[in-house]
This record gives sequence, C-alpha cells and structure tokens, in this order.
Amino acid sequence: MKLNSGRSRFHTLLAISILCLFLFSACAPIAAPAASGPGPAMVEIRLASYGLGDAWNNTLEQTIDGFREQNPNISVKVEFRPIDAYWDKLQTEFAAGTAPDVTINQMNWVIPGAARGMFVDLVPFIEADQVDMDAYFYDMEPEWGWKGGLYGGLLYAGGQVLYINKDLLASAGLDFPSAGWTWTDMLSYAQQLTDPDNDQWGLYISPLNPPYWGASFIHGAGGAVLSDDRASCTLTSPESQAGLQYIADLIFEHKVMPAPVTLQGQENPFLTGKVAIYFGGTWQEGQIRQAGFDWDFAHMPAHPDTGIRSVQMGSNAWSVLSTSEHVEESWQLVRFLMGEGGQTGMMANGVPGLTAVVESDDYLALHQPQDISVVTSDFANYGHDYYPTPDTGEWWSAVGQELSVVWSGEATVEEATERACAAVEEIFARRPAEWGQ
Amino acid sequence: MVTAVSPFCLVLIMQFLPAFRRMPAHIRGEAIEGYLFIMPWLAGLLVFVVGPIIASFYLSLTDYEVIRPPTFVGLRNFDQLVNDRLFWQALKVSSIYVFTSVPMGLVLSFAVALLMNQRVRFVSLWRTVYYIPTLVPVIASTMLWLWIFNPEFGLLNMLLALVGIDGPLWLGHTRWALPSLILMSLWTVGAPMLIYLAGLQGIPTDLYEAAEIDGAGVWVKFGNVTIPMMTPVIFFNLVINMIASFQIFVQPFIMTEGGPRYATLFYVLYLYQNAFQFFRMGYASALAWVLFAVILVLTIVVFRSSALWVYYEGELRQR
Repeated sequence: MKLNSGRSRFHTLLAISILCLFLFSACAPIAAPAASGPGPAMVEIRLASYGLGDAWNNTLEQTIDGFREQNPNISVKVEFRPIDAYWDKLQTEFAAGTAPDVTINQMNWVIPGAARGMFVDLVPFIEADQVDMDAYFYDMEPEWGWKGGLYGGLLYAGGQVLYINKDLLASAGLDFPSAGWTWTDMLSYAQQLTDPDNDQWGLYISPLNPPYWGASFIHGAGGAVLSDDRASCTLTSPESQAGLQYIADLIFEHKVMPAPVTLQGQENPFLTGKVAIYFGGTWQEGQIRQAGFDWDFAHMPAHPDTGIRSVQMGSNAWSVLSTSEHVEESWQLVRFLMGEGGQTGMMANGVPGLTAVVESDDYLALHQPQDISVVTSDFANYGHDYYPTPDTGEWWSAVGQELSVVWSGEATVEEATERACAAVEEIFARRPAEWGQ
Repeated sequence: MVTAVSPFCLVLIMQFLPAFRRMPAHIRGEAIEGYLFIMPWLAGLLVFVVGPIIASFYLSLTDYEVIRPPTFVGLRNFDQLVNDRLFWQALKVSSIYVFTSVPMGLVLSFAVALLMNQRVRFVSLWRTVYYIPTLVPVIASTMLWLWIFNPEFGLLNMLLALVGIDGPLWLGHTRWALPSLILMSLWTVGAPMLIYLAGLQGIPTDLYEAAEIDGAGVWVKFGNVTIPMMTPVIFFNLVINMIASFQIFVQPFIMTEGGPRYATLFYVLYLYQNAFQFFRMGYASALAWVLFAVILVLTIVVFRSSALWVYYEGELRQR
C-alpha cells in the first residue's frame, strides 16, 4: 500500500514537473513565422555593432538601407551596443546560441574567434561570387586570415597615422616634413618644437606598446615583435631593442616626448595644441579636425640606416557568426559592406579599403585641405599587420605590462624585453597542437 | 517568465509533499501565501545565484573557452594555479590591499564618525559632505582620481610641491601604484562612517553618566564604554569591507589595467582577464573558487575571533 502511495506521489510529481516544463517552454520567445505566398521567403538577419555616436550609427543605418533596397527579401536588423564589454557579450551570446548573424569586429578579435570556430570562413563565398580582392589596396589576409581562410570583410582600413600641427611648425619656422624624412630629421624637428616653458612637446606616440605604434619603430630598426611563424618572441633581438631604445631616448635623453604616465587622466595633448608631431590612429581624425588649429598628415619617417619605414595597421571588420542560420544572406550583407556601396557609404567616418573609393574625388574632397592620400599610400607601401594570433589578448597584455616600466624609467629596454619574451614564451607554450603555428 | 510561472508550480508541488499535507488547512493556506510572496526572490536566487555557483564549480573542473563546449579536465586548473606566477601576484596584491585599506578605512571612518557625533554647528552638513563621495558613481570618481594622481598636473603632487616634496609617479610607478589605490579607497569612508554614527548614537547615555560619576575622563570613557559598545558595529564593518575589498575590480580595470608591471593586478581583474580576454573561463572559474575559499576562511577566522573582542549587551560568556 505504502509502495503504491509512493509511486502515485512520484507519478503525480513527475506529471507536474512535465507540466511546468511545458509552461516554461511556452514562455520562450516565439519565432517569427516565415512569409507565405508567392516569391522568395523573407529572411531576417541581425547585424550587431558597437555604437560610436549618433552620426556614425546613422551613417551605418543609411548605408545598410542601400543593401535593403537591393535585397528586398532580406530584412536587416541593426543592433547597436555599448563598446565596453562588446566582445564579452558577443562571446556569451555565441555560447548561448543567441549571437547575431553578422558582427563588427576589432582587429584583435577576429583571429582569436576564428581559431575557436566562432566565425565563418569567407573564402568559399568570395571565390563563388568572384569578388575581386585585388581591388583593395589594403590586404585583408594578414589581419584576418587563419589557416587559409579569411574571417573578416573590411569595414575600414585603419591604423597608424602621423599628424602634424602646422601652426606649431610655422611658429618654429619649420617647413612641413618631406616624404623622404628620416628618424634623425624627426628628432631634429622634435627638439626644435619642444618648449618646456610652455609645456610644449615635440612629439607624442599613443598607443605606444607593440603591436601598436611602438612596433613601427621596431620594424624600422630592422626588428620584429614575433617571428614570421608567430611562434616565438623576437623583442630581444638587437634590432628590436634598438627600435624601442629610440623611443625611450625620445623621453629620457632628448626629452622631446612626455612619458605616457605623466598624461594619465589628461586629454590627448595633440588635441590641446601642446604636441607638434603625433603618432595616432585613423579613428582620431574627426577629433583632430575639430581641434581648431591647422594640421596635416605626414609620411612615416624612415630609419636613417636601414631605410625602412613602417606603419602599423589594424582595422575593423565584419564577420559572419558560425551560429547563423542565414549564412548566405549574412555573406551578402558583408559583401555589400566591404563592396563599393558599403565602402562609399561609410567613407565619411573612416578610411575605405577599396582603391577606387580612396582615389575618388568625393573621398579626397572629404579630407581637404588635408591630403589623405599620404595615409593610404603609406598603408599600401609600408603597412605591417599587428601580429594576429589566437592568443593575441594574452601576449599583448604581457608585453604591455613588461614594457610599461621602460616608459616610466624603471627598467632598461634590455631588462624589459627579456622579461616580456619570457612571459610570451610561457603563454605560447600552452598553445594547443591544433593551432600548429 | 520564470518568476511568473514558478509560483504556480510551487503550489502544485507543495500539495503533494507529506509534511505539507499534514498541516491544518489554515496553516497550509498561510504557508502557501508566504511562499508565494517570497517566490520572486526565491526564483531569482535559484536561477541567477545558485545556478551559476553550481555551474562555475563544474566549469572550474573543465577546459572552457566560452565559445566552445567545456572539456572535463579534473583538477588540472587548480594544479596550474599553483605554478602560475600571476595567480600568486594577484593574490599578493589583493591581500596587501585588504590588510591595509580595510584597517585604515575602519579607523578613519570611526574617527570621522566620532567627530560627526559631536554637537557642533552645521553637523548635518558635515555628515553630508563626508557621505557624498560614496554616492558618486565609481567611474566618475575613478576619472577624478586619475587626475588627482597625475604626476605633472595632479592635485596631490601640487600640494606636495608646496611643502617642497617632489611627488612620485603614483599610478605610473610599480612601488607607488598599489599605495595609490589604497589611498583612494579612503575616499569612501562615508559608508562605514554612517553605520558607526548610528552605532554611536545607540550607546545608552547612562553608561557615560555612570562612568563620569566614577571619575572617568574622556579617554577612559572612550576605552571602556565607547569601544566595547561599538565592537558589534566594528565587527560588521570589518567583515563587509574585507569581503568587498577582495572583490575590487573597477578601479584597477579603468586606472591601471593591472600595471605597471602587474603592480596592481588585483585578483578579480586577473579573473576577468582570464574569463573574457584570454578565453580561459574554466581557469577563471577555478580562480573564483579559490577566492571564495580564501574569503570563507578569513571570514570564519574573524567570526571565531569575535568571541574574544566583540561585546554584546546581555550576552553570557562562558569562563
């Protein structure tokens, strides 16, 4: 009798639990019904991007309107999210199976995600649609390529830019630097433009740590941050150390550049007219344009002995999530955004990668009186990738931590690079065999 | 949705629990109502707290990169912790922070509370002034302190220069970065101050009157009446601040990113980096459980020690 009573109770509880499950599942979001009737079914794809202000957001929406007109059977829902924690959120959405179909990507997210199966390889689609990749002056493969695949379609051709405050040059009686200027010339300029009594500095570099702009000095001196196969750290080579030493000397020996630590909590000194020569990023052009002084782009200086001039690139891409149920339609959107429609639509806010667009009168006129072709030609001729690897985040952090004490004067370049490479090698030793780098 | 549906399920399930069925009808009705009222909280606790705690324990035993399914690796993450120099560095940084900022904060907030307990003019205004910093959003106060610590233009070095001291690089120097954040933690002494103030105003005045009749001076009254009567409040603030200080994240995340050269690599910052920047969520989960164990042990020690130094009115102590 007791046994029967227990079984009865068990069955009743089981029935209630199942009922609850039904109720929970009834609360799940309802999928949108597929369009019925004649003609192709309507497909909705979600594109996620971090919001960069109303102007940028509206430009993206208007650019995508062009895609909507061309593809009436594809509905694009644009989701703007805060840039802070964007990557964290995308990872958790991917894990939960709720990720968007297409996402904006920063340069250091693409390969880490691609190596872990997060993004769709675009090469088969590019080949099938016969997209002319030679039409781009900006090579995407070094930045977003992984094991023969390509995991990002170009949004902007971003990277390092050399800005010059022409008003400060004029005050010092200096001509605008020529295309063939060297590190020696730049130092001479910086010395003449530094005025400690007025808190005025000759030059400034930010962000500094490799693989950001400090890397261009390492390359100029003939060094590298990582080996060609990205399997070992080469910061301890004499050439790499010489490149970093040049920067350290700008701060401590020649005193023409402020130590980064002295600018914590301060506005960018180039924007306030306190720096004459500024190694910054393409994304800062809009701010600089509003700074209220005369300025222009300059060519990267070359190393006086090696003759090497190098510019760091690092761009934004569009990627298709591998969880997407509409990969073909998502690819069509990425193809549009990296194509003429997208590149022209977004060109007011960044450097396009299509040669035809960057050479167009409309694009050049957007930047006048400044000469943007200086930037795009340096990218095309002297551009260097940012050493993308699946463990980019971890080794970047290690290098940044170890080199930070060089810029505060607490360690020599030799000490810091020895420690940085030891830390990087420790991280690389944990790499899974499947990466096979 | 979970909150909305779960009361219905709870009521149904309870109907069949033996203990519940044995209740008299009117008590059963009250019980149902009681559970219904706490159900939103209970459902939230189960889904958003207990669930993740259990999940994180499982994940600590896995190799989990978030965007790929976890692989069970047993205790390998905990084994790696022992040989991870950054784990020990993070533990050291957080421990130094807790064992310096918490006592300093307790003493300073107690001192300020004593001042705010005096009968002086505009005392309400002063209390507000000291409490306001705790209301400032942490991002805003962090940006403010970045400016205060600036070695060239910062307020702190400007004040030091007035007395002939060449101020340090503060957040930019490995030796000064952690002390800078400890100093900054004193910015929010207003919160414990308010609790101390409530405690001070709850001390019966007849105790002070009795002490005065016995000839006690200010310091004797302070040592033999105020301090003993305040020990439960001190105990509360100690436990709360110790736990909170081990979990500091926003300030180093925004101000130093753990640098320079890991000088401010706080434990939770290192945990976050592993979880979301280095694709090591399994390892980060192991870090979280170790932190939980550390805080648990210290909290138990503080609780056990309270028998020696915390005084409760009316308690009977075994001798």
